[in-house]
Amino acid sequence: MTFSDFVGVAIKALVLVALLMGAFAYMTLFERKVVARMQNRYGPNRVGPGGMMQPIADGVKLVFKEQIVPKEAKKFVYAIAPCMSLIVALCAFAVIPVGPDSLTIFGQHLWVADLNIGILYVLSVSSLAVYGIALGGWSSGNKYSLMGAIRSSAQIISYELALGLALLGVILVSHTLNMNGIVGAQQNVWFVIPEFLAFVIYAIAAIAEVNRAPFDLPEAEQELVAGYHTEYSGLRFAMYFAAEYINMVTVSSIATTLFLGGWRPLLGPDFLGPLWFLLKVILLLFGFVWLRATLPRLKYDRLMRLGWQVLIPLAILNLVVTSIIVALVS
Amino acid sequence: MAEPNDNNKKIIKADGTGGGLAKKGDIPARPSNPISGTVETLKGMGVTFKNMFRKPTTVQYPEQKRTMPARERGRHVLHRYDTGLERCIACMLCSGTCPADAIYIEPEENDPTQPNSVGERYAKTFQIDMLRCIFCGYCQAACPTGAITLESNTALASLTRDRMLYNKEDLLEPLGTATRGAALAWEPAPPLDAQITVPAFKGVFDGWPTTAAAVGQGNLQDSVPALTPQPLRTAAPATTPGHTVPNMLPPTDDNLILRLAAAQSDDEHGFKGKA
Repeated sequence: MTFSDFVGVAIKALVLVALLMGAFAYMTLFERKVVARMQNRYGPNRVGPGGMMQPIADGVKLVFKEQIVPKEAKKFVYAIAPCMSLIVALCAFAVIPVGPDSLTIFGQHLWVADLNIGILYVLSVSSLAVYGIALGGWSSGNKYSLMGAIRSSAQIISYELALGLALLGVILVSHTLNMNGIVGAQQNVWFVIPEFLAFVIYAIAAIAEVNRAPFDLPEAEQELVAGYHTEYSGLRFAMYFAAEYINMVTVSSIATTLFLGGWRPLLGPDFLGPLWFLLKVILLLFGFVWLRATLPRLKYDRLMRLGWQVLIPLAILNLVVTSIIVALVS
Repeated sequence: MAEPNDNNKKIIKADGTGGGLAKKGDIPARPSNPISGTVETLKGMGVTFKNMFRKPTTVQYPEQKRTMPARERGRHVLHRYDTGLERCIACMLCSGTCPADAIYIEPEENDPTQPNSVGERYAKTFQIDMLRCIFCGYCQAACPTGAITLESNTALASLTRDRMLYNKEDLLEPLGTATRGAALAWEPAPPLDAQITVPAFKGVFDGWPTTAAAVGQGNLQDSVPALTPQPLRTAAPATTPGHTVPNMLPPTDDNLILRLAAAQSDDEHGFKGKA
């Protein structure tokens, strides 16, 4: 790797981080607006035209708020846990190809890294998210935080299995772990059609993986105040908040890449790929918000039962059937 | 599991499915039907999606305002007569009836040549602590002259506590205005739907000719004379009910003060009887 390559990747990474933070900010606005409309309200509409400046106002508020550290907190872990959450959330996006191979800007492709083990990287990095949550909850020195962190860890570990097994089906069909290769393999048909069961399992597991409603048990207000981030305020809380929303964007992007053809346009030229990618991700994000506005939270035992007794057997079934078909066809 | 003891034997479940204590494992872990569960979920999502295109019910407050009922109880207003005299005669009834002890009045004798009010006394100080006030409207109900009413101004806010102490100058309507305010909204007959209506049912019920009384709606007359609406609270009387109370509503002419002064010189009790 030459120095100029390094600079190129560094700049792309910075741009990606900036874009993701912007996506986080406007995802909060999008969510508040959509949920408000579903509840016959207007949502934020005071700051700027149509409330467009609301995320900036929120961000300024969060940055300038006092960061309270509880007396019982383990200070060092308490301080770095939200950073871990955020960094992990930002990292996972690196391998997702946003545009086609033919489309370059200043000679750079629209992805930060083209790993030949793209999916493995995504899975392993997103598994690290549990550390930020578990350590943050534990180091707060608060029972509610600890309970939230324990729930979160258990939930993420349980659903990661189903998530990974669902992705295996796609890998079997596309014969590659490389994200670009997987998008390339969807030239004729998006994998959501042959691997529909895997897509559904992935969608459910992904919602649980990022702790969103109806699987937002780690943040169940009625029982746990705010779960693992009860004791966090100011910028540190903002980091957890950002991590949650960026994780949503990331799992939506992975779903887009693996099941919805990535940047592949339904119609139109290839160089509009990034726009198609954005459109697909926004649709999936709308799904997240829609579910949150509709469904009540599951009971904890139901959550575990759904993960272990329904999703994992289904994912294994899907894997076996896919393997047989792939073996017979090839 | 141990035998249930005698005290627990009579426990009956709320749904009537028999007595006894719920044992551990009584209700089997029943996985819900995945098909119907999915259908129900999708139905719910349809509801939220449909609602997204409805007009929001929010009232955008500072720009849009709801029309509030005439009897809305907001900030107090002290009223005047057409002559410009204050209605308040400092009788202290509002202050006395106030459950929150929010009203503070310092009365003072009227100067007979230049009276502030039509009574013997007027309120030199009239303070309402809006931080104490619970807007119950007892003061308005207690007021014999209709001097204090609760009007529709509910936008009371301030940055300091002492700004929430409303003085007489803040509450009294300006000279030249003589309104009755919400007192009018309380005086007329109660709304039609508040009147007692009598079911005048007479006909066939369950195949038999019958009346309202017979079907358990009370032993009622067939026809009821229309109720004369009674005011919830009588207004300040327009004529003197007797000579034991001051003449509270003066004739509206400009020579009142002169005549009051003349009456004062005739009779040391001043306001007794017609001026």
